Amino acid sequence: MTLAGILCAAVFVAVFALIATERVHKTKAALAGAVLVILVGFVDQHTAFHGEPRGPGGVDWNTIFLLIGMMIIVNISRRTGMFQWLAIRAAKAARGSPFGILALLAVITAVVSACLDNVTTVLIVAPVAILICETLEIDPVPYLISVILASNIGGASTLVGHPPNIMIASATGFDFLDFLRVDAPIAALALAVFLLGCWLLLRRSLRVEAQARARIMEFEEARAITDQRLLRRCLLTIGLTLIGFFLHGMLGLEPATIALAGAALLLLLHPEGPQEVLAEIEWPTIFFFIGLFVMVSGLVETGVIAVLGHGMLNLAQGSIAAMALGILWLSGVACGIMDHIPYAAAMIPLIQNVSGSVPAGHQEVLWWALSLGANLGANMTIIAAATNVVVAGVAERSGYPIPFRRFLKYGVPVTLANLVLSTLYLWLRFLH
Amino acid sequence: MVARDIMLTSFPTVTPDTPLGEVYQAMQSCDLPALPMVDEHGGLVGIVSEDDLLRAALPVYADTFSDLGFLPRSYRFHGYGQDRLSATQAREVLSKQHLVAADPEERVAELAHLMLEHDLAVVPVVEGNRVVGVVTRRSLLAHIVAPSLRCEPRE
Repeated sequence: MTLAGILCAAVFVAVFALIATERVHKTKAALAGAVLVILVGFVDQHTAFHGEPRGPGGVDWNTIFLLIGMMIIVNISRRTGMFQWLAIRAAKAARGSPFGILALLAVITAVVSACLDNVTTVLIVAPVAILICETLEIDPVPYLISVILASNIGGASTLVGHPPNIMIASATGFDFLDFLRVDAPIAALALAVFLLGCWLLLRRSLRVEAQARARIMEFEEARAITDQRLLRRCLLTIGLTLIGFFLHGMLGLEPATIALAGAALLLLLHPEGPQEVLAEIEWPTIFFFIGLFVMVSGLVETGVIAVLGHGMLNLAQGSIAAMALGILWLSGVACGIMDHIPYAAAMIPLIQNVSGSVPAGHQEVLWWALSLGANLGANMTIIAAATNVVVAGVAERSGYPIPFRRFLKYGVPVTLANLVLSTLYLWLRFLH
Repeated sequence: MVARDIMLTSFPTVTPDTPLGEVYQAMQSCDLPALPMVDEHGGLVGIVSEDDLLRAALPVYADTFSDLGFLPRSYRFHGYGQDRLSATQAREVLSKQHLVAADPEERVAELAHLMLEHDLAVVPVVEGNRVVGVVTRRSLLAHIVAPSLRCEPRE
């Protein structure tokens, strides 16, 4: 490795350490690292900003615009109260049964997380879960943990569900249907296994009084809807956007274009000005991505990625199975401890690099291994993903802290079970 | 015209460990929407307002709902029963905006600005680390809107 490569890798590791130890906000650290990488000359400005088409490096505008588009749609939609309506409706559909509510909330969280942003989904579902548990006079913590796990599993199932999938799609050209074809079945299975586990382990301990169940039935969920007109417009936009996602491959459009089209439509249909909606975009997240993309461009240009790719090929000794399962488990464990966004940002050019040395037709499995590992690994610890941290925050403020070890008791078995399932799945489907 | 000219100098104060039930009684007795909270030396800790009491009656996560109208009429927030609420100490509901205070020589325009900027019901006036008065919205408005009707500040 060249001296430039070593120094650039050192910048990347230093930024990582700052983020992991929470010394500096992740966005500040990533932006500072990005600027440093350009100023020192590890990567030239043009490559840092634009990269090569379908090649490694550069700011991935598909990811940026897809995230922004979806954030706009969600920011307007959540004002209508539709998600609260859905969650309360579920609690009533379960007739106040504690396990029924847990299962239905998990399914709703998974489905909404698959279509929309995970963090927003859990920010809405978690408080409803607490409210329902307080009404039933039971401990909300298992419900909150279940919401986190379901959100991460659901997010793993589609192109738009989790940021690593968005980035993988942009790097590979896999379309929405490809993710449904490969990731969705295993995510559905993972969710089913998770719920089965909950049923076996929790159904005994979840007991509530008939009186408490009756209180759930008194909720008037229709009154959670704040604006019927806006609600119809949001549902129309979300529906059209989802149809757009299904068709984007056929139409030759990037998912980012579909998301921006949906966002533009909803902004036009929304009576209020754009300032408030646009101000609610999670700009720190967006700039975190921009910083990471530039830093990773530095790793590519200074040859760090090529060296790592070479090492990976040597380690696997030409075995696709070893490489795919290695990526799956490495990703699962790594993303159990750290944010899967920077991890995926660095792994994507690495896999692009090794793909060149893999026989044609065998590259695909490496990407699915990354996708499943990075997304399902997020369930291992309470700090693994933004989703987990956000729910932990809501829980803590509401007086129901989720201790690190208590989460591990659920997170580790679920993650391990999911990784074992994924191993079997990848083996049977691609490696067998 | 400055803060000293329009402030009330006679008002009850609360301490961090005053129970909310007593905070409410004190507010009611002097018809003020907020009261200064002081430490044992009379130094300003913050202001407890009716907003704080209302917020304390709702669960913390209430702000994530766009509409609480779906709750049944009979609903009572668990863990926020009335007995518990009235026994809660004032320090637990204090929100940080209340570190705002004015100097006795503060201009009236700045007082109005402070009230709007920080959404304050009253502005405490601090001199030499002690709370010497409070300016209410009402006394400020009397000065701004209806100077001819203005009464002298209560002593």
